[in-house]
Amino acid sequence: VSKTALVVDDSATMREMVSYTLKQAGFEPLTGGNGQEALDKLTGQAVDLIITDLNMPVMDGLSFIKAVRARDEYRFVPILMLTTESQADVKAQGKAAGATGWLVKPFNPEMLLQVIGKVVPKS
Amino acid sequence: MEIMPEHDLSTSTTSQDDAHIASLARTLSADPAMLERLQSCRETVHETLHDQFRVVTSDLEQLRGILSDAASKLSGAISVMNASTSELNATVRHLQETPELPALVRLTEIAEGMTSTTGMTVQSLQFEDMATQLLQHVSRRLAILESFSKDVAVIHPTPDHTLPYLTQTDLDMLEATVARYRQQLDSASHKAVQQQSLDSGDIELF
Repeated sequence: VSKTALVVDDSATMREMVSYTLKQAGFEPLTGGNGQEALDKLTGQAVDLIITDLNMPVMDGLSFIKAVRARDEYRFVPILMLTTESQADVKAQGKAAGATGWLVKPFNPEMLLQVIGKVVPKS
Repeated sequence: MEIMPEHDLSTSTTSQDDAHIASLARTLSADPAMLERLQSCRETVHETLHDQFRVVTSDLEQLRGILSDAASKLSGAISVMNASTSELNATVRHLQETPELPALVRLTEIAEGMTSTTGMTVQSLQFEDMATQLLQHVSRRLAILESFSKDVAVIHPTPDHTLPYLTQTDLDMLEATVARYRQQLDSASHKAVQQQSLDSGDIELF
């Protein structure tokens, strides 16, 4: 049974690149163009991993993570922030919101898969 | 108190000191304090515009670097993929004629090379997202500057090259406007993209 990952980014290219990489690792990717869209897709959907951007229209990554963590069923789902931002204070906000890890764009597919291997429990 | 409109400050330089302004004001029957404030406003506006255009130029230069890096990496990836595909086809043809272990090993190496090159392509294609964010940053700054430039137009000399006719209230408003825009531009200084190239970014697990 393949695992499911939710990819949230306002850039279609980024969603495509992350989804492509996740498929190589056997994930079935779901996508959302912003935090609100992703939250709507999450309802009733079991996911093993969430990868989200920070700066997005409608609902940004920090608000999205807080909303996800507020739902009991997603409290322990690994959430990786994938963003161009690398400032320490912004990272601290991500950590406080409930992110599991922080990756600065652009990502290297091999490295991303290694990180995923560390944060997603083996089935 | 008003500044007399017949005075022309368009040739004034930013290095004018207090005495010079006072002397100029006496000669032209204007209030030196107001002239000084107006001159200070003009200097602040020119300085702000100069600084902001420098920032925008720097952002565009960063964008140029990222696009150039992406084009170079993608072009390199295409060359590698082309060469790999040619070698792959030749090796398969050879295997069809004489199956042997070294050729099979080489096939595996080529496949690994192609996976690695695909990874480089995935990394390089992320330029679009970074470029978009940089351009949004530039657009936001230019929009503020456009509005700023309109709202402080009163400092420009009139068509007959004399100072604009300003009251004390006008000057107070002008100073407040300049201060407000400088604050707005400062708060727009946060730039999400700091990367200069498409090398992969840092990773941190909490």
